[in-house]
Amino acid sequence: MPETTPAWLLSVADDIQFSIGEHQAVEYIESPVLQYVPLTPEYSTHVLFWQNSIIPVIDMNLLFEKPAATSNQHIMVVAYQKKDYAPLQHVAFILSSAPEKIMVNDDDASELPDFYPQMLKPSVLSIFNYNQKLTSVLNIAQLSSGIIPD
Amino acid sequence: MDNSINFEFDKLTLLEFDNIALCFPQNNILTIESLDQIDSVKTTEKSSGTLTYNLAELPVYTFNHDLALQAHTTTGNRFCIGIKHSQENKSFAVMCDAVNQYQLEDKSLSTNIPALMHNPDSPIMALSSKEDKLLLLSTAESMYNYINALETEHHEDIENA
Repeated sequence: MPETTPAWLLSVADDIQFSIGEHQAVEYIESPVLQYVPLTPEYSTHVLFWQNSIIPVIDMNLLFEKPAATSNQHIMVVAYQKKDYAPLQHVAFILSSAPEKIMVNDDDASELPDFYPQMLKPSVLSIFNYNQKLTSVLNIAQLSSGIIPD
Repeated sequence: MDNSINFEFDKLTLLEFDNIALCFPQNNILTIESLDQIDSVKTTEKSSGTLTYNLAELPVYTFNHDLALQAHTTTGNRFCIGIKHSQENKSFAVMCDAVNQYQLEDKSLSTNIPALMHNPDSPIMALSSKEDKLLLLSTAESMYNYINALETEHHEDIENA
């Protein structure tokens, strides 16, 4: 019997979505106030003041080689650990709509397609199809450790 | 894991312009002058004027929101801040709209630039906050290196044109 795992589906554009583990979602913010940091990579030009800390905000559109997110976006704060027993760290993702709770089925697993963005490949744990859309499960710790441009 | 920030200073001078707050350690500040002390004659290609301080001519730089250098001072600029480099002949000045002193009381509210936002060419070494304002923490040395790289790039562009 195939195994199913609960996860959050995060949509960043009509044709771009990715998934994180259920336990990694910390807070969904509908109207975030973002702070601009000059001279930063285009996929992360803002930070968020969140619970007495300053956390980076990622626009996944640009890592998927699509146009940048437009205004009126939402934010999901996500927790990760660099390794077991390490303190929790946080990063925020710009979303185009509210996150959706889903069940990921092992039978839906798919191969990483050739056209998948090179910059994101080191951070992909697995790929599956959900609603006929390719959906990545991302290693947030790897992604947050820095992106190596093409 | 050590999350302490790589920025040892807590007494800061805040330079505000174009909706950003750029901070230097207070001991990096040579002088605070008004706009009328600026000579519009440029000593370097990318500067926007000159400030004479103790017989030395400091190039004056004007930044925008993106920390790109501007050819001229902007309408909001009211102050010119002399920045002291450890090598005296590398000191310079920066224009701003407002200037304030600030003490970082709690460094746990500050952070290094997150790894995924890192840019080796940026003079911003760390981030902090003052109420709802983001503070961009820099030093005279890192800002001098950044400006010098922009000046060098400009010279190379002219030579290759």
